[in-house]
Formats: sequence, structure tokens, C-alpha cells
Amino acid sequence: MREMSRSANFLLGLTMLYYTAPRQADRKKNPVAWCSSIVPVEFLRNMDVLPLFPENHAALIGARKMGVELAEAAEAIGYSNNICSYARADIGHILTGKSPVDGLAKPDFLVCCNNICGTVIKWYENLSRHFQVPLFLLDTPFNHEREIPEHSLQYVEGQLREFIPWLEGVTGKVFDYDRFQEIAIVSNETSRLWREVLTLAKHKPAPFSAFDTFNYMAPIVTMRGTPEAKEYYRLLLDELLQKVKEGTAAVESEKYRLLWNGIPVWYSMRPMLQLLAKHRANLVCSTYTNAWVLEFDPDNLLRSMAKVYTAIMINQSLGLKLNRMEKMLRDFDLDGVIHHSNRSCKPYCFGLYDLSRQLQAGSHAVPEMIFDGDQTDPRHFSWAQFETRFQSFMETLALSRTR
Amino acid sequence: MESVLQSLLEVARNPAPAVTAWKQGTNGKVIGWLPIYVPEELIHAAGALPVSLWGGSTEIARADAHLQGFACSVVRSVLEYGLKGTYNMVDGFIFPSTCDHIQNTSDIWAAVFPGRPKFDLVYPANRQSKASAAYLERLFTGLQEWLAALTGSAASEGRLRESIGIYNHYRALSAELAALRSSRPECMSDLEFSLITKSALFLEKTEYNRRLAELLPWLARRTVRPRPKVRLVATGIMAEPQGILQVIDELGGAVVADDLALGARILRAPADETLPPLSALVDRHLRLGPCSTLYDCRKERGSHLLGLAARHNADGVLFLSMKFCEAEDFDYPVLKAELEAAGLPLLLLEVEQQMSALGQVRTRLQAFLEILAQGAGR
Repeated sequence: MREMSRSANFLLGLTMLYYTAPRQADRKKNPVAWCSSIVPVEFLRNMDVLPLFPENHAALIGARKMGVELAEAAEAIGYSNNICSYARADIGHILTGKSPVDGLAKPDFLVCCNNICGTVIKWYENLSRHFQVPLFLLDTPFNHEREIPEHSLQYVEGQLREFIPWLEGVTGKVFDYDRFQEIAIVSNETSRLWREVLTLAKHKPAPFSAFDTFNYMAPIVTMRGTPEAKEYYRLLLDELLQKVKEGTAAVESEKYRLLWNGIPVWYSMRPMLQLLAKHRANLVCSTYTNAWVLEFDPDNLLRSMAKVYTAIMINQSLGLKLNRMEKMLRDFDLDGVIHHSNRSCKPYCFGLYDLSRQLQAGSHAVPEMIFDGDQTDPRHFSWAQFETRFQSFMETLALSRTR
Repeated sequence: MESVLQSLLEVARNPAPAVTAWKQGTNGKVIGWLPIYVPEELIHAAGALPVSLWGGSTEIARADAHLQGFACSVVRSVLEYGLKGTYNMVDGFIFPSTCDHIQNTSDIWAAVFPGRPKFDLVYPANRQSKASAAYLERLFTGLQEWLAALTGSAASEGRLRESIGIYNHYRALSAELAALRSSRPECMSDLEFSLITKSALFLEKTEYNRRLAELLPWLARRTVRPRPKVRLVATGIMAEPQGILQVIDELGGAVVADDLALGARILRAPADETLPPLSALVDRHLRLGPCSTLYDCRKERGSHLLGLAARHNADGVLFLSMKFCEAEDFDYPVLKAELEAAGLPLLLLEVEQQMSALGQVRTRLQAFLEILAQGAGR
């Protein structure tokens, strides 16, 4: 077995800390909040709140192949099999206490932001009801335009201003604006490091694959705004730079460089990685991991946070999604795209067919494949379908090479 | 009077001729809007005809090239109708931010019909913020501007005030119709009630109000069925396919009150006529609910249903669950627990507009109604 790298070791420690600290916390000093995946966590860090992320936990449930069992527990009390499998996994874990990591410590309050979907609003309504704890909703209106309209930004900024007294109320603490500024700067630097990590995949061959980044991403999601997360990405960046220098390739004799569009199929990462490697194909980057590159203007913090937290890719129009994808194809010199038509994530996959059509009609047309899947629930995924579509995708790619 | 009733039922069953006739008669614009909440008063005041697009029973063929099969039947059939040309007489479309399905279909719509005018009504999901009203007012002003550009004339404040009055009257008359089905369910079938309600979605409201006002006293004296053995409250997005209502009817049940989106939910909360007109519409939207698509961390839908059942002396609740509607799906387990605790029977029926075979629905309804009939002892 290969020795664990320093960064991998550090990540293990961080993950332990992330799950155990809330369990052991003195809730007066460190209240615990459950949060949807992209909330302005900087406000929480400033109040010494320990945030937990049910979606991240659900991904782990998926990866450890506990998705079906926990989803079925939620279905048994009336949750439809058609709703998001993250939500079902989370609710199943609440009902049964089962989890790959001893579960999430109970929340003192909840923070939900709909910049990723409307589903989280319903999910958090139910969590609030179940735990009988307060819920703050940050509404970031979907952007159908080229630019986010001014009145949307004013509205989001207004809510961010209200978030402060709300937090003071639920924590019984005073919001320290100077410290907030410092935390935002740490958060910024962490995001910058994360962006630099992801950017290293531009190298040929790429030193890692998107599958690796699905592991690297945990601290940017769960511990953004802490010095520890920043330290992790500094370590990781150094190691990856070394790999680049040595010419280490994630996939031997890398031939095809691909973009992953969607949430990972958490329970099927290894076979996918192996299948791709067999064809000398590497997932060089993904639209998913890029969602946590969140960089603010420290001189105009609330306004720029309003903008950054609203401008999440799946909270914006098809045209902007296409622009972002075309930019990645160009910047990373990619040969093709794999789209995950994910039954759980409606905003990520409704519109996929037309996105694909527009991509083909545009100046960056590359071969694509779309497969039907689900992020956590393998009952909605067929390996046979994936493999068949992947084979023909590879044939198309090979043809496009010879031309 | 029978002919007035028949004319409304016909509009609900086949709206196109009525909409086309209005358009030819007035030379006005037709504005189609998707569920659930759109301030029709603004469209009406701009001299246009608002028509509400809730999909239908059409077979899905063309839409499958644009939307996955796990999108709800409303957006799939709306897209199908659009692609088939059913909406060719519609001059502009409004997509509210009701849910991820509608919100994302709006972008697909823009890709499929790039030239057709469309307005996105991205509502404030957080209606408790101090910033919500200003945002909403700007949104409605934007809608007014879009309508003015489309119709070629801006609606005056006076016109809007007048439209608000007409719509409040529409809601009041609708409330009378709803009261009638509870006090004398034998006067109309559930299907008739549902179709009358639906016909309003395609008719200019002065005209609809006139017909409904004529109809009400006649309906009040009419008898078309025996007193129901079982009284039900229906909740969900809509009571479609309409065959379900016929099945209930045949089994001796009656829906005496509803909490359907295409029903009571859009007809709630009259606008406050003492406020400046635009503020009245903003204020009304901020008061709407309870509804699965409007954020509510107190989950008041359960107590609302219990209240409805008590007020209307209902024996049970029918949860008509629109397949793939996440908003409704998340409410169901909460309602189930709450209604069970209160001892109010609840039946979940999963429905899709494209459903044709109702055998299973009938079996489940029959079992449910039999149990309720024993309890009701009517």
C-alpha cells in the first residue's frame, strides 16, 4: 500500500474534527447549525458556530453504499422515492441513527440557501419542524438574464443584513464586524487556493482527476473560512505542484481529457475511474467542484457576497451555463463531456438536452454522452447503460481524433 | 340557465375557441401564464387576456426531446402543447419561479422558442424579509413594463384599480360557489364544480363574473345527485385527470372543500382595495398561503386542512399527489403524521395528467370511502 501523503493525512484529521467537534461542543459557546451546501458560512464562523452539511454527509452515505437502506427508511414514513436522494438519505439517517460516521450532531438552528435548488427549502422546512429549531432562509433569486438584476442583489444584500441580528438572537452573541472581515479574507484565500488546485488540471497530462477532486473538496464545502481549511489547500497545492514538476499523470498515457457535468455518482466512483483509465481517458475537471470557488471583494463585502452566493452556476440561465462550460472546454483543452442526468438534482439536469444541442451548434462542439443516474440512490442507475453509452462515446471520440 | 352552465363546461374542456373568439373580438393580446401565482390583475389592466396554462392530458412525444421523464406532467404537457402549436394564439408567456421544474422549463422554453416574448416572475421565496416588498414591487413594475411593450399601451392606475375590483369580485363569487358545494353538494357534481372553476382560467373576468353570478341562484335550487355518503377535502396541485372526480361521484362521495392549487389556493386572499393598487398586489402576494410552493417553516398546511375538514364537516382528506412534484412530496409525510395524530383519515393518490387507466385509483378510493362511510353513518 502506498504511503499516505501529508495532505491526505491532514484531510483525515480535518474530517474527524469536522464531525466530532459538534458532538463535543459546549452549545453555548459553539452552537451547531445544519446548512445547505453553499451558504455564507463566513457569518457562522464569525459567531463560532459549527456548521454541519447534510448534503456532504449524504454524499458520504452514498459513497459507503448506505444510500438505499437510508432512503428506504425515509420512504417508509411517506417520503416519495422521486425526491432528492440526499434528502432521503439525510432523513433516513435521522430516523435510524445510521451513518458511516456516527451521524451528525443535532442542530441548534438551520440555515438554508436556495442557490442550488428549491428542494432544500422544503427539506429544511421539514428539518425545522422535526428538530423544533429556528430556520433562516437566504433567498437568492434564480437569474434568467445575462447579468444578475440590481433589484435581486439589493434583496439578497438586505437579507444578509438581517442575517446578522438573527444570528445574534439565536446565539446570544454579538457580531464582530472586524473579525468578520478577517474571516472573509481567510475564506477568500481558501477559495483562491482551491481554484489554483483545480487549475492545475490544465497541465498535460493532468496530475489528478476530477474523481480525486471529489475527495479534495470536503474542506472547501464544510470548513471554508477556517485557517485549517486554508492550510489543507496550501499543502495540497504544494504536493500537486510537485507532481506536475515530476510529470506524474493521473491516468497513464492520458489520451482523452473530459469534463464531468453534474454531481458525482458517489457509489460508483471506482468502477467509473477504472473504466475511464482503461480507455486512457481522464476526467480532467467538473462543473460541480467549481461551484465552491467563491471569491469576494473585501472592500464591499455584503454586496459582493450577495452576488457571489447568487451566481452559482445552477442558479443561472442555460446561456450562462453554456458559457461557463465552453470556457472550461477551452481553458482545459478538453475532448468531450459526460453529462449526468441526475434524477435527484432537477436544476442540474432539466435543460441538459438543450444545453447539449446548443453546445453542438456552437464554436466548441465536442463529443458528449448523457447517462441516467442518481447521486446517492443506485436504484436509479444502471451500470450497463453507463458502460454501453461510454463505449460508443469512446468510439465517437476516437473518430473525432482521426479526422 | 343550463346553457350558461354548458358554455362554461365547454370552455374548460376546450378553451381554444373561447380564447380565439376573444382575440378576434377585441384585437387584444393573449398572455399565457404557468402555475401557480401570477397577478392577473396586471394583465387584465393592460387590456390583455390572461390565460392559465396547467398542462393537460395530451400524450407526450415532442417534449421528451427537451425534458426528462421525471419532470412533472404539468411542465411536460405545457411544453408538448407549445411544440404542437396549441398555444399559437398566445402572444406572451409568464413563467413564475414556482419550483425547479417550472423555473428550468422557462430556460428550455427560451431555447426552443427564442423569439417568443417571455417574462420570468422570479418571486421572493423569503417573504419575511424587510427587503421582500421592495423586490416584489420592482418585479411587478417590470411585468407592467413588459406588458406595456407587448400591448403598446401602459395601464393607468385607475385601470389597475378597476381590475383589482373585478378580481376581488371574481374571488367573492368563487367563494359563494365553493360554499354552495359544501352546503348543498347535491346541486352539482364534483366534475361540474371543477370545470366551472377551470373555465375562469380562460375567460375575461367581467364576462366570467356575469355568467357565474347568473348561475349561482339557479345552481342553489338544482339537484343532480343524492346527498353524499362521504364528504371529502381534496388537497394537492389539481384534481386531474378529471376521471378521478367522476369515480368519487359514482362511489357516493363528494369533495365539499379543497386546498388545490388549481382551486382554492389561487382564489384566496382578496387584494386590499384601500392600498395603492400596485402595493395591494404586493401585499396580497406576501399574504398568500399556506401552499407547498410558498416557504412556510411553520408548516401551516396541516392545521389549515384540519380546519377545513372541521368547518365543512368532512370525513377524510384526499391527497392528490402530482407525480414528481417535490413541493407536495415533502409536505405529505408531515401532513400524514399530523392528520393521523388528529384522527382525520387521509388517502394518498399519485396522479399524472397523462394517466388513462383509473382502475387502481377506483379500487383504492372505494376501500377508503367504504371505511369513511361506516364512520360517517350518513
